[in-house]
Amino acid sequence: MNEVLDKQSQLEAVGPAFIKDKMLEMRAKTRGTIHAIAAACKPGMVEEDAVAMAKDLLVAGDMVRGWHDVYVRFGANTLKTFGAASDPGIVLKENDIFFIDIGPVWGEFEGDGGDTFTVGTAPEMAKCAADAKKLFHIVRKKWETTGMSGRELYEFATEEAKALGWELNLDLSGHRLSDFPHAAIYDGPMAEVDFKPSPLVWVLEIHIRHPSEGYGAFFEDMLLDDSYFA
Amino acid sequence: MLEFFLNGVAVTAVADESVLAACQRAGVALATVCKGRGMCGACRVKVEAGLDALPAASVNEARLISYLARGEDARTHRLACQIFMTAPLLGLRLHAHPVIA
Repeated sequence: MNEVLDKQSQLEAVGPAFIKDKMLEMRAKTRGTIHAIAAACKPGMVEEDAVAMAKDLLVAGDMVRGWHDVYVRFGANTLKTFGAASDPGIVLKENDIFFIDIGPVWGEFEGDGGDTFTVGTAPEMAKCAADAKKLFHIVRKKWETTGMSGRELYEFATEEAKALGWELNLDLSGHRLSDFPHAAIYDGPMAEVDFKPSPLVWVLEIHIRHPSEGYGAFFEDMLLDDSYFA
Repeated sequence: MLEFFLNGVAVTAVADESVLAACQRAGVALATVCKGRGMCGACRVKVEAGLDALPAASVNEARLISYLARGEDARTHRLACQIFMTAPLLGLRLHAHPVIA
């Protein structure tokens, strides 16, 4: 038991600039920017232009620096895992799906968030987007109400995704967040930790894919209790 | 092979390889958080020689450098992940900055 607690203490360390309220402020800025980017994505837009637009919006919000790249993925590119290059020249169709994943740094505080949106009439895609968020909250609730470790939470998420008819991409399986750079403390996935992750210093990532069709959906936010999601 | 210098240490790159990638391959310490995507600024370097041979920074690189190098001469700073070695850059001399600027 002490070994697990020692490991938790080690992996959940924060840097000298860590301030809880600033992390929450950064979270709000991140989520607000995701929705601003989504509102500016229109059918006919090329994905590369959407990424450039997203970077401009981040700069306008004083988030010049990022701890990871800016991802706006259209259509079939929503199947791509973190870090993978998008197929070039993908245009957002009239009835389509897209997701946003940003990891901005504001001052010394890291943010990270993702969400999926649809345009036009695409009920199956809309269900995929809604289920990514739904699954995020199912797993988050399991975290809140049990002592499950990061590893157990992602085992649970895999089964829950299957029950909803989706495949869970375990290459996107949660990680630390802190004052910049969290990578100096722990750069690995939450799905590999054998303790219950603490609030505020981890993000839960859910990337689901249709088992046969060419689209998926992504949702990501901090691990926090219900009161932060009212 | 194209030779450049980081903090006085000679490093060789293959054509079109980034300075960051060449340093990582050679085991020469140079920080990155965003894994060479030009986002985090951790691999920022000061160009001590060869500045005129460098292509202009992209809009994204220029605004990140401008933010990180505030109070310094931003024109002499670049991101190592965004410098791709070519023959005109032979002998480039760079000085690495710490992770947190």
